[in-house]
Amino acid sequence: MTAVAASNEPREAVVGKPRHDSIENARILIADDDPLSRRLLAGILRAENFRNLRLAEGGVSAMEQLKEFRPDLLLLDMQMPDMSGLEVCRKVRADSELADMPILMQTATVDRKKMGELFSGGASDFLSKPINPSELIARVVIHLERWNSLRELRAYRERISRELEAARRMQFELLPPPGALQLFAESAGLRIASYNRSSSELGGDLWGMLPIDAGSLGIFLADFAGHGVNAALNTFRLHALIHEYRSLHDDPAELTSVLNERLVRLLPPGQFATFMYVVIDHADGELRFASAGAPPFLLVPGSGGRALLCEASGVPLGIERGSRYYLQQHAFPKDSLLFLYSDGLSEFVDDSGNRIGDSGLAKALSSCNLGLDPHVVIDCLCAEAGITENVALQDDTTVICIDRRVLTRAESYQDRSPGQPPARSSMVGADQEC
Amino acid sequence: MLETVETEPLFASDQLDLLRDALGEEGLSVMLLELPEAAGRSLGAIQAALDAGNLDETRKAAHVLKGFSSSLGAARLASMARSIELDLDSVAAIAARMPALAATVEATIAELARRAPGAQG
Repeated sequence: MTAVAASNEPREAVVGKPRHDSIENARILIADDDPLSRRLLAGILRAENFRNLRLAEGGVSAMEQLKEFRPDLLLLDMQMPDMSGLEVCRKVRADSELADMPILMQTATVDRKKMGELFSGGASDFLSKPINPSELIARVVIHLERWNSLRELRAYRERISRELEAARRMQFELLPPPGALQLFAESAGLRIASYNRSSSELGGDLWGMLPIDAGSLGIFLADFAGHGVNAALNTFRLHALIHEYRSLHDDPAELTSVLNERLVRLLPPGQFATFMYVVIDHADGELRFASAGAPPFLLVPGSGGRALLCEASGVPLGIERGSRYYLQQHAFPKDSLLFLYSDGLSEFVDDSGNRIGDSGLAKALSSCNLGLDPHVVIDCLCAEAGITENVALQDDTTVICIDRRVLTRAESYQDRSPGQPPARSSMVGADQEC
Repeated sequence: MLETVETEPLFASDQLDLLRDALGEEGLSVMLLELPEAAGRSLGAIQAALDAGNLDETRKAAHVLKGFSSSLGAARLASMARSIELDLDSVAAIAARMPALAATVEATIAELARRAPGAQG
């Protein structure tokens, strides 16, 4: 044995893999009631360039130092007289601020039951006694690396969440501002309500209202394939394009054709949008519309009428160059109601596994009482489809309801923004039920 | 059992090799220099607990001795401490083992001194 003899020979690294500074700078708290064992552990760690060490002479001291030192890793002796390692471990895991910190428990036990208690008490791993330096360093490194990865992942997730929230707000700002809509609605003798909710942070639905002249306005509803970032970015593209072709806002077929030509060039394969554009000519009591693969809209023509499904054929935007879109027309007399929706509503699968479908929505609308506030109509049909305030949506969902009824100033526009509870209008009376 | 323990080597060379790899020769020497004082302290703690007739405290003190002596490669001392902690079930049985434990501490310290740099022989 030459243990005590000095030597200048370079020793081999216990763990040969180069380590990142963040590992070597990690804060490590060593809790052991035996001073010699504490010093031995610290000596082995320092020899491997871990320099940010703190020593605790027992469980109580460890608990006191945890809050102030905020270690990245805790090395705990299982058997300490004032508070056992297992007890410390359980207390640490019960503290939300420390709950994820790696805890390595030193133990000489080979008792399977005690080992089970150790892990169920929250230990991340164990170190056998007598101390094996290679094992100590390897386990410390692997748990610090895991801990760092976890923290990086959390930081990344928080950043992405913040960015998605900012994008969601920007996307929300693409929707018609309530003040401007109210002005349109008042001047056109209409009542308007809308509902727009994404199935994830960002959606692929977009709707808007375009003032044309004193006697007409346009309403579009687009639904990009999929949802999430791609679909949301495409809604920004489409919004810009629609406003670029202001001169075509009174020509649904031509506007749809031009948008298709632009999107065919812009969108990569597999990305496309259904699109419905309706011009409401309230001066002449007429609807003119074109569709690019969009779901039909519902029309109740005049008081007491049944809801009609108004379909128009057309290839979705962005798929085929040269696609033709055709103008359709329909009467829109006073007391009529127009109900536009994306397929998130008609295709929603309820708790029983059923979809209401287009005809189910028409039936539900036909059975609504006359004169309901458009907001109430939306609530009723969403409820019929199975969409309630807290239900998770399977697809982005947009609904717009417009009617030509005699209205007061305050009644003209109501909007349900994402996250806003489906509050009923203050004008809704007890008799206004589906 | 006692005979088995007493024929065990005073130091386990494989454990010392592991420590040497980790700490270097000088680092290992520094740690081993602390062994005599720590062993003497543990011996005193075990004796005090025995004098108080406290079996539980006696075992706890033996557990500490077992922990650092095994980690520092003092194999015979660690085995003797382990036997006191886990095998003996009375104060009297442990008290009867104390002379052998004290002799093992002395032998371990002597072995360290013999192997210290500059030691004769």
